[in-house]
Amino acid sequence: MLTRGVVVALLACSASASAEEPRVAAPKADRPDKPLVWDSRYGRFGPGQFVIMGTAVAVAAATNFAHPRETHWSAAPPFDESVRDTFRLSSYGARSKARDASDISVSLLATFPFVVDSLMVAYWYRGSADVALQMSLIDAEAISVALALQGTVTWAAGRARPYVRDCGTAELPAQTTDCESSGRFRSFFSGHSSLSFVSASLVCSHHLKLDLFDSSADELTCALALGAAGATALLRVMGDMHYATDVLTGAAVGTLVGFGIPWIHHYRHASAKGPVSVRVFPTVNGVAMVGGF
Amino acid sequence: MARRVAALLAVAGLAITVPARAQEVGGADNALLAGRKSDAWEHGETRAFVGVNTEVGAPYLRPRAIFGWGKPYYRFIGVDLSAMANATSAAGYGGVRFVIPHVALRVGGRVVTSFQRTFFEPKDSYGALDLAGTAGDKARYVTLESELAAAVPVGPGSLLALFSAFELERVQGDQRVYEETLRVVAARRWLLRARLGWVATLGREGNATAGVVAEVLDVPGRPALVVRAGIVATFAINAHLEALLTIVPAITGPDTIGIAGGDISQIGLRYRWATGP
Repeated sequence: MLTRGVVVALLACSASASAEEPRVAAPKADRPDKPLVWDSRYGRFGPGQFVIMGTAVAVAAATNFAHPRETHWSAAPPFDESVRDTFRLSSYGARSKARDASDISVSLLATFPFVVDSLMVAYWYRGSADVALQMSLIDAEAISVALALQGTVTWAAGRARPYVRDCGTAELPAQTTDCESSGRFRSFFSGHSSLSFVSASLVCSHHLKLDLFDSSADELTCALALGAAGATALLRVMGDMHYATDVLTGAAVGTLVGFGIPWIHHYRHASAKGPVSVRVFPTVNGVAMVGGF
Repeated sequence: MARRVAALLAVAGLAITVPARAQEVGGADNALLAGRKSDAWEHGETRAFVGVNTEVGAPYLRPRAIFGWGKPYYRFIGVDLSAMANATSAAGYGGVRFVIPHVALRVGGRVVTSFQRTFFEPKDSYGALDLAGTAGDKARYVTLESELAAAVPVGPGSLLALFSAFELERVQGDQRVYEETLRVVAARRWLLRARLGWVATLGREGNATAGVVAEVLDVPGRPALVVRAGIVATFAINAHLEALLTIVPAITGPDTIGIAGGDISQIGLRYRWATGP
């Protein structure tokens, strides 16, 4: 949360600083001549959204600091057990590597909308501090809402992580942070999955609506982001941190928030590319969601 | 204390083997800044200044204040005060920094408090489970540090060199501790690091760099030798703000602690600012 706040502050500072900083007169040979412009039909980030974001930040902070409720929810349905048996890696070391990989991927995905899309692409490459600021604020709002939803549900659900059944065994001693921290009861739903998918969905929303690269690289960036989010979710199951229902719910919530907030507040007001469509349908292994602009 | 600082300075001094030529390229305040064609600080006036150099990423925050004299981040001498916070630890640092074009030297001390990790009993190898252990006192220790960074233009980029000498304090007997800055399981007293690499300057505007680095960490007290290699990249967004990417995982070494054993900052942002013209 602090990270996003600082990023937004830095963006605002750097935009004003650069305006009064004539010492670097860099040529713009690598950049398009025509700067990106925020379409007035989208509307600007407003006071209501600041209220939503502030409330979401407070809820997310409170629910993440609070100890999860003691619900004694540790049972897993056959579907979760089946997926766990299939994907869970065999050794603690291997599972630890999967967790590490998921930490790296969620970190890259969470920073991508701010650092790459807003600052490097919209601000530097396309020359628009205004678009970069609008994007960053929308990103901060959507991610805050996703974190608030995830924090509230994990606090209320208090579901034990899959590995908890192994605590106190030779493989996983009881005196470890895994088995002692309150985080062991934050299985439902997956924060890594929801954060990855909300970030990937924000990347898609902005690239597809604003044509940040103005080429097929926009669609490619969106596809890669969604693929990385899916991989992050799978790694959480491989690392025995979550059940399948945890990551699927996280993915669904993240996707809905990541596409929904930019659309509801901004992009639905201009539908030059047609309305947004979201379809959810069952598949062999669960559910799938397809969205389009 | 004075003798220790003098010893650290001596180690750093011995490591100054890289020629420090004055060039048109920006100062080597940090080896990662190498190769940038236009660094606004170079054209400022020599003066007393207060600077801010803050890094933020997911999930870490590293604010730093500099009270110096010279051209900020290019050629100066100053006092560094910084803090670091991430999900597992917090630290405070104070020291002095000398910067001339292409070379930077810092000497200082750091207090580190771990929120999760404890001191470890000695053994040959440590795994992820050891780092997750809670039996024992939470780690709290002090490091006396000296570090020399150099960036010398070579071809269409720069040769990077980084030499670090840390002395570990407040660690009892033969206890081990996970050292949060160098990211290695350490023992008293010395930790030594040597990093070499090369980064290319990219783009016609010269505001991006990307390259490879390799480093060796020596922990004589264990003993242990760790080799890391990976990629580093920077992208200057404007005169004050730049994006950073550092992914330097451990390649060989006695431990299997995963991401905790590498220098992995992922995507971060660095904001630099200073008073004066």
